[in-house]
Parts: sequence; structure tokens; C-alpha cells
Amino acid sequence: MMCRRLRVTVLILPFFVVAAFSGGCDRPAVDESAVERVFGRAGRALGEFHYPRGIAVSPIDGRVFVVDKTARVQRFSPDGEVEHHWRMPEWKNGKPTGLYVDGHNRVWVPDTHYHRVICYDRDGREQFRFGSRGEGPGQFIFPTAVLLDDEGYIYVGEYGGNDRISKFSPDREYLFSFADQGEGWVDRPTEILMDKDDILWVADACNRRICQYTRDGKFIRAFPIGGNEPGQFSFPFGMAFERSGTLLIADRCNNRIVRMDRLGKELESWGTQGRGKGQLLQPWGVAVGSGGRIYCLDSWNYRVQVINW
Amino acid sequence: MLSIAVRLTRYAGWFALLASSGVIVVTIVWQSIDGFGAVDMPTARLRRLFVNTIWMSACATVMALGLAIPAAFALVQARREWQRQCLLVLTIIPLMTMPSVFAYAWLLLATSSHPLIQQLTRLVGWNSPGAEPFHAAWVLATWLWPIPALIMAVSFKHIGAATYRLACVDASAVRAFFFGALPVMRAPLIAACAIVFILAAIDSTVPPLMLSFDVWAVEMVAQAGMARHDARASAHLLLMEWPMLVMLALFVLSAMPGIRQMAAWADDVGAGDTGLNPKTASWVWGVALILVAAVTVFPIVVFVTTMASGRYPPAESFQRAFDAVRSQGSSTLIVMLAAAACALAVSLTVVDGPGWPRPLRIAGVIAVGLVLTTAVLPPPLIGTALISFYADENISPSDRWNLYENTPTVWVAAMLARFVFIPVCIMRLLNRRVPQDVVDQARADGASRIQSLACARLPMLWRSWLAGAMLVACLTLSEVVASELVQPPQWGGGSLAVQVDGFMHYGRHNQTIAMGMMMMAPAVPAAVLMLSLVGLPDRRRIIRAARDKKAL
Repeated sequence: MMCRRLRVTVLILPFFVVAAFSGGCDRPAVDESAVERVFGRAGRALGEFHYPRGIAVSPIDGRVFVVDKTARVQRFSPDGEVEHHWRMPEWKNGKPTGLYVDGHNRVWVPDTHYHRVICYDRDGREQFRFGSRGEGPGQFIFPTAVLLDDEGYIYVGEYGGNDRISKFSPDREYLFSFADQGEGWVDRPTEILMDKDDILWVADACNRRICQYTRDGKFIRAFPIGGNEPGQFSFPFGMAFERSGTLLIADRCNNRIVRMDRLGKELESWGTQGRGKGQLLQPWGVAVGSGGRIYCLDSWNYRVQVINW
Repeated sequence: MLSIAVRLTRYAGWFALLASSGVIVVTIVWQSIDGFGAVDMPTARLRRLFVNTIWMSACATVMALGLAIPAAFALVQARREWQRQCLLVLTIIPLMTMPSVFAYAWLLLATSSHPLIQQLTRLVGWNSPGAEPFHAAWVLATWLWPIPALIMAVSFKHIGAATYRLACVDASAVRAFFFGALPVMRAPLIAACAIVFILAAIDSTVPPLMLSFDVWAVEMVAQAGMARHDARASAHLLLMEWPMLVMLALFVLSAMPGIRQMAAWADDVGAGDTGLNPKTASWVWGVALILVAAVTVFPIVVFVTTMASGRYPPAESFQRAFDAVRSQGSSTLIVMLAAAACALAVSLTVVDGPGWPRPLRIAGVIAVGLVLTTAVLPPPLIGTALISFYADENISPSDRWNLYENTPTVWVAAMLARFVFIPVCIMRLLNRRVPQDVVDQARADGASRIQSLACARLPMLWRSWLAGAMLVACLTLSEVVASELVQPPQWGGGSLAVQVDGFMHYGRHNQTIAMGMMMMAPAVPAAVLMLSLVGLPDRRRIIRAARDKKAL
């Protein structure tokens, strides 16, 4: 009887142990070779991040600006050495989720949970602010993206009630809103860019697509469909144009950076899910610096990976 | 075969217990060994957060009592069995629902553009500056009120009924309840208040949604995220958390008399069913039902009405929500089932009897102590300790994959540490109700310890055993903080609750509303199933016994 029990126990136990450990899979291949450097780590000290969610590179001097959940905007050299930082005036309600640096080296911060946009110089001195909470013309609810075009017009994307993009004059006078109805109706526009042909590109995150509009807000087209197959996005969050004209997209929930041509065709992608070098976890943004360096905002890993890809 | 399965399940339960609660306790102690003597005194900011937390939790407790007392009164005074069952189902549902769902519903209501709603919010001063902690307290109360309600109902059944009936001689039913029964139930009531206070103090999902960020639990979540890269992460967090842990320990001590009293009721099989009370008007039950239903069903009503006026049609919203949660849904489901299975195994480790060898009985006591210890630890500390052990020590039987990164092991361990105390306490207490003569008879017939457990005790306990595991599964679905900390980077799609909670921070959106409703949906059938498993058999036995007594 004892032998039988022992035999059965010995036979069944390994299966149980294996079942308890099941679900493991081989680690996916990691492309470390493209990673030039990594800067930032978890923390609240200078040069450290607590869940960074916005990144932008100055077109003038290549400085990198990052905003995180400590409501700090930090300025880094192109090599990732921290130079300066400042804090948003208020942050109790929440912290900004985007960042933009214009051609005058001014840092535009959509202060998401305070429903306004604040503009700073490169040293963090506030230049002006505009916007208030509301659904009316010129008001915001959760602004997430800002763009200044070459004529000085300001575009602000918002969501969480308004789901639109508003255009303002260089004097910050409200002009009109678009992308708020029909086929071009956005759902969480997280990044707005303008290309050399004056076409607006919008990362329409919750609709899982990239949309194009004219300067006057007319919807042109959108691509592609949401998913995690090649050519599909799961919440495109950040975008940046490379010098060659191709578009880089931070595909947040697929944990990768996608390179796409102007016709919407995916050319290649970089990054896999994970915490190691060459891996990404919930990348919120991507920016292109001098010399073609790509700065990937690896948000859940509390760092920025600089890749040459 | 059954006894072999039971034996193996007990082994697995010990393994799971040691891999979860055991690892947490050992890691915290080990990492703290060098650190004692370097206790951080809280900074002025942390002191302010601590005071805010006490204030918010105290308000939540008072408000929860305010909701619980009428519900408890109606529960004990319901004239019909089906009325009581309805109330019980509605009472249990909030406990099994994610608290963020309630917070989001109130957030939607407070930001509604409907003129009547705006007028009402202005009238009660909802949007007054500085009212955010009260918002958080109110939402916590709407989530936690079932705990004091159920404790009061059970206490009334065991100790309050006699005093109540005596007081009913010359007082109204309501006065008899408030001034007759409630004072007698003082100890369990204090225990209920302590439990609500503790749960409100360690919750970090509701306050941020209600824009009340200056609370201790929210700060500790941020600290846990940054402590990950500290070599002695658990010690670092423990040394920061010591004021909260001291406060929790004080509240647990204050609750002990009531908890001991309630535990003793486990032996009291024939405690009176209150039965029909001719003094109570039938409208009392109706009013209580409306109140309880309003609080429980309120999120659904808000979601449905908001969705109706939203951007996307409801069907499309649900489709988008379903697409968004598909990957997280499957991994969350796997973790729920695994946590429930492990809970079944762990709760079997504490089932023993008077004839068992002393070492095994001591082991059972140790198991209970372990699970209760980790049950009161704040979720950030649980997550940090597990990550410290499994990730930083690279615990893995293989070079090709890592236990933390590539499997849900650590995630399941965190859920066990948080919630397994429920089925463990249920099994431990109800095991005392198993008639010893049945077990003795089985032993006299030649059954071994395990055979008597499998064939004599388990048949009487299996319903509660399953109900406890089901509760663990539901709570696993709703857990945000611990899940976020321990999500495996290279397995599955992450936690559904974490994703839904994240979306809720960004205003009204039909897809988020649909997700909230999807998170609430499992609570209803789970509550019904739990009651059918736990409630009816006892009640039938009592009614049968009363009927037999009457016949004699």
C-alpha cells in the first residue's frame, strides 16, 4: 500500500511542479547593437525619472527635454548628461503627458491635468500660458500634444471629453477646432507633427491609427488598423520625423519603435518587450536628434535609450 | 486516490504559501537586518500625508457605518428568506468589484454637464476647494460599507438578537436596534470599523481618481516604483512605511477582541435565525433595498446614462473595450484561476484536528500567522519584497527563462499574499464546526488522518472552501497596485485592472465606461454563486432543526 502510494506520488508530483512553472517561454531576441547609450534610471534625483511620459529634442542645439511624473522637466545634453531642471507650477492633480520644443528653443508643455499649455524658455523660465478647463472654443480638457508650425500657428490636441485639435494664432487667439467629427475624429491625439509638405500628422492613439490633415483642418487620410501584427499599432503614442522623411512611431503597447514611410507602409521595427538593453516597456515617446540619433522614451523602464538605427 | 490528491494538494499549498507569504516575510526581515538603527523619521511632507490619510480613513469609516447600519438592520429584519438573499447579494457585490469603478462613476457624475446634476453638486459643495479628501472618503465608504454591514448582521444573529427582542417589548424596532442591540455588539463593531479604516488607509487607487493625491498610500506606490532599483528595496520601503505599519498594528490589536468573539461563533452551530419579526413593517425592507441597491447599482446607472450620451454607440464602445482588453484579459484570467487554485491548496494546509500530531498543528498555526501578516502589509511592500527576491536574485530553474520575467509566478504569489487569508480563515474557523464524532468514527474505521480529512471533513467544508477561492479570484481581478508592481515584463499582456484604472484617469470616455462595466460584471454571478455555496446549506440545517424541534 505504501509502495503504491509512493509510486503514485512520485509519478504525479513532477507534473505538478512543471505545471506550476509553466507558462515560461524563451526570451525573445534582443537587438542591443543599435543601442548607443542609455541614460536615466528610476528615482527623483537629478538625471533620474519617475515614469517619464514626454520627450522632445531641440532643433537648435540638440538638447533633450524629458517630463516625468514628478512634474519635472529635465534638460539633457545630446549625450544624456543632465544640465538643468525645473518643476511645473502645480502638479497635485496630475503631471504633463507631452512635450514640444519649437524652432525658437522654447519648451511647450501641455499641462494635461490643469487643462492649459505653458511655454518656457530652455532654462525653464515661464514665457506665457494659455487655456482653461472647458469644452468651449479655446478651452481644453486634458491637452496632450502641442505643435508650432513654421508660421507660428499653434495646434493643441486634447482628449477625455473634447477629442479634438484646436488651432491658435501666433498671438494665441483661438481660430478653430478640427478632427472632432466624421472620419477624422480623433480619440486621444498624443502627438502632432507637420511635415515639409505642410501636412499635419496626428498619432490618434485610442483609434490606433495615424491621421493626416491639412493646415486648415481638413482630414486627408488615416492608416493603419489597430493590432500587433506588422503594420498595425497598439496605441501609437509618440512620433518623430527623420531627416530622410521617414516617420518613427512609438508603438506603446507593442513595446517597439516602428519606422514607416510617408505612404503608411511599415519598413521595420525595433525593440521587444522587456527590461534589458534593447528592450522597451510602454514607450511613450520618440524623438530624433542631431546626427540621426533616435531617443526612445522607455517609460516603464524609467530611462531613455539612444539608438542608432 | 482522493486522499492522495488531498495530500498532494496540501504539499502544493505549503509550497505556494512559502513561495508567496514566506518569501515576503523572509525578504523583508533579511533585507532589514542591516538596516535597523537607520529608521527614517518622516519628513514634514510625509507627516502631512500621514495626517491626511488618517483623516480620510476616519471619514470613510464613519460614512461606511452610516451606510452599513440601515443595511444591517434590513438584513436582520427581512421578513422573507428571498428578501434577505437579495440584500445579501447586493451587499456582497461592492466588495468583489474594483474600487476604481466606484470612483470613476462618481467622477463622471461630478463632471456631468446635466444642469440638474450640476445644481445638486453645487448644493452639496462637491466641487468646493479642498473637498477632494471627502470625495475619496465617500467613494471608499461606498466600496467598503458591506464589511461592517455583514459583521453587524452576523453579530446580531449571535449576540444582538436577544437584547433586541427584549428591547422590542417597549421600544420601536429602530430604537431597539440602535439602543438595544448595537451596544451589545460593540466589540465586533469596533473590529468592523478597524477593518474598514485599515482598508481605506492602504488603498491607493481611489484617492488619485478623486484628485486626493496627498495620502500616504499614493506616495508609497511612487516610492515602491523607485525602490525597485535599490539593492535593499524592501528594507528601504519598510523603513519608510513604519508609521503606517505601526498604525495598522494598533488597529489590528483594537480589533482583536471583536475578532476573537466572532471566531468563537464558529463553534456556535445553532445560533438563532432571527426569523420573522412581526414588529418590523414591511416597508423597512423596501427602503433598505432601495438604499443598498442605489449604492451598489449606482455605478451601473451612471455608466449607462453617460454612455448613452457619449461619442460612440454602446455596442461599438463595448467592442473597442473588448479589443483593448483582450490580451490583458487572458493573462488576468490565467492569474485569477491560478490564484484561486493556489488558494484552495493553501487553505487546506490549515485544516487539522485534535488528533493530529503537534508539529502539524503548529505548522497550521504558523501558516495562519504568515497569511495574516502579509494580509495587513501594504501592497507596495508586498510587491517590492517579491520583486526583490524573484527578480533581483534571478530565481529561476533555467537559464533560458526567468521566473519573474517569463511566468506569472510572482504575480500569483502577490495575489496570494494579499487575499489568501480569507479562505484560510474561513477553513480554519469552519473546520471547528465539523462534528468530532464523525471524524472519530472515520478514524475508528481505519481511516488515516488524510483520509479522514478527505472523506469526513472536506465533504462538510467544500462549499465554503470553493467560495473562499472564488472570492480570491474576484479580488485578484480587481487588484491594481500589487499587480502593477509585479507584472511580468515578458509574459502576457499585463493586468486588466491596471489598464482600466489607468484609462480612468483621463476623463469620460465610452470605452473606459465599457471597461468599467466589464470589470463589474463578474461580481454579480460570483456573489450569487458564493451565497448559494455558503448561505443555503447552513440555513437549511437550521430551519430543518427548528422544524424537528417543533415536531417534538
